[in-house]
Amino acid sequence: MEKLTILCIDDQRDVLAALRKDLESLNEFCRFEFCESADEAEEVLDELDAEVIPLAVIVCDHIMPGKNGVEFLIEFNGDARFEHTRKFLLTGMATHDDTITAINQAQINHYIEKPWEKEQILEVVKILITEFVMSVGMEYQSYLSILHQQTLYKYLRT
Amino acid sequence: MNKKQNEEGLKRLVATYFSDPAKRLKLEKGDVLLEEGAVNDRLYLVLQGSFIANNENIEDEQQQLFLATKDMFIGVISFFSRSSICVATIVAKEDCEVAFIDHNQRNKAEKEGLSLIEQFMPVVVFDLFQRQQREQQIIFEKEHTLEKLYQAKKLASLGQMAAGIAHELNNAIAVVSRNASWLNEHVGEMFLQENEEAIRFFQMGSETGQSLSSREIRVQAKALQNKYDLDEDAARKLAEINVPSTIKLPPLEQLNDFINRSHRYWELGASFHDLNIAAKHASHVVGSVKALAAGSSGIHNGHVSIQESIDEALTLLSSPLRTISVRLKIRELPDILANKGELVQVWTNLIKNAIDSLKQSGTESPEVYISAKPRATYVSIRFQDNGPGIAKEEQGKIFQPNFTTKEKGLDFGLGLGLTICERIIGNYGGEISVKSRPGKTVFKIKLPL
Repeated sequence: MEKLTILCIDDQRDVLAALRKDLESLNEFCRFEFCESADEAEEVLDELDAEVIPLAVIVCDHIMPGKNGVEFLIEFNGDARFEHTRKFLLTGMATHDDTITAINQAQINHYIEKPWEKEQILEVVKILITEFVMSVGMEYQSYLSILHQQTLYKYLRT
Repeated sequence: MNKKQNEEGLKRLVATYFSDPAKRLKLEKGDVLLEEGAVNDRLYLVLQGSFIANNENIEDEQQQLFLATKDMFIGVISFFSRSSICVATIVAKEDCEVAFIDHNQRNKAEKEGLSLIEQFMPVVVFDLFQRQQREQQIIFEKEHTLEKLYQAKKLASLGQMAAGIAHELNNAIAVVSRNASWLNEHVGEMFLQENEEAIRFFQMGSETGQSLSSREIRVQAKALQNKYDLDEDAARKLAEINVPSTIKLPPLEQLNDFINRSHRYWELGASFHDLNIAAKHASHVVGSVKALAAGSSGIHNGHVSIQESIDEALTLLSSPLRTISVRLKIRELPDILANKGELVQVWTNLIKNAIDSLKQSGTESPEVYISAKPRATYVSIRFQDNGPGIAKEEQGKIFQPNFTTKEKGLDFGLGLGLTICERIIGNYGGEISVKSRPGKTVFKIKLPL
């Protein structure tokens, strides 16, 4: 089984550390990349692409110095190398307009406001992993224990 | 007609019609020259002093209609409209002298055929125009004052609301922060007592948290992975701990276990570290907003070391300051009478502004330089950064409430930071000023000793 990558971007190191702890139960099936800026994330994207590592989910903060999360995700949305990757915006503060832009232009798949709950974020990430695995057409059985049952069922029914 | 032409016209009129000593009046302060509703057949010219014109408005209140000073006419409407009824009560504001003409005035025109009204008209029209202009000015000033008042009220109500929220939040933050410290102390004692290795990693975590950046960790992890033949996860964990070279790693077959164990202890400590910093940050944000409620507390609760207050601000900002070099040059300073919390708040705001500017602009080799030195009667403290600076046209506005350049909301960008700083420093009888050009922005604070 190939490990799926989850890329987390937040300019605050302590927020990344908190994410890392909440998501660590996925360790057996997932590998994590943590980045403190959009620029750094772009470097990681190039590495992932070069090594042909599947990127399942991006968890991205919104307000960051330099390129903000929505700007980054809009660019990422147009990146053909990662067309199946699921995008998840985790934000401390977003205006109505920001949210509309994120949905319309970055086509984010999910949106959560900080502070989050562990169960909540784990469920969302599992849903997104399931969507990724199924839309890429990977051998889903090997990831079964971290897949979101209802989401999987939806895919299998159709 | 311009001003000069008008002056000449007026001079001619004065010489021709207002130079008869028999047609002059002297009034004392408070004397009534004309009464609203009374009959008037005179046109007065103010020679000296000033008058207030009042009339009753629609709500039976007295309102000031205009102010007549030297060389202005009084009774214009009643005299020229031929209704002969005064529209306002004219009261001397000080001791005054006026000259007048009445309806029996003989035409003394130099040019044949020019009526009395034709001679007066240009000057009187100009006079009315000036009155109108003065009114406009007063209205403008009133609006300006109202706007300022509105701003102040808005700030005050924001402050009151903030104070309420702050109270609630502070209780929550206090619980978070006190429990974090308590746990930090006792978890170490209780669970890790007889495990030297555990306590060491726990303390490393709780003292410094994660000291490497995500990029450094990635680089380190790759190197460690190759060096020890570790799996990716273990290599990342080992990199995160940033084990000092003095600690000897166990042999390879035990290494994975060792890493997982020590990383747990380290992470436990680091969590307390993050918790404490976050609680401090939260209470600082609350404090900043709360400071608006009544301006400064004004409580100068003791001798405060400036050095200490600056150190505290730097600790609060240690996380965003990691990528910025900080230079300090603080000479031996006498303590000042102040509220330490307020000083920390001022420094934090100034340093945070510098950080935001440096980060937002992506300045190369970003640096914050803080210096302080004593003078005869005051202490001078400077905060300097090498960011892009503040645009000339904005420098005058930065202390105003609601002015912010942080539109992207990097901070909470209420545009209140410097307003708060100015208020606090002002309350201590000090001064804050700014000088800025690209590559060098300096905020200078003077605090009296």
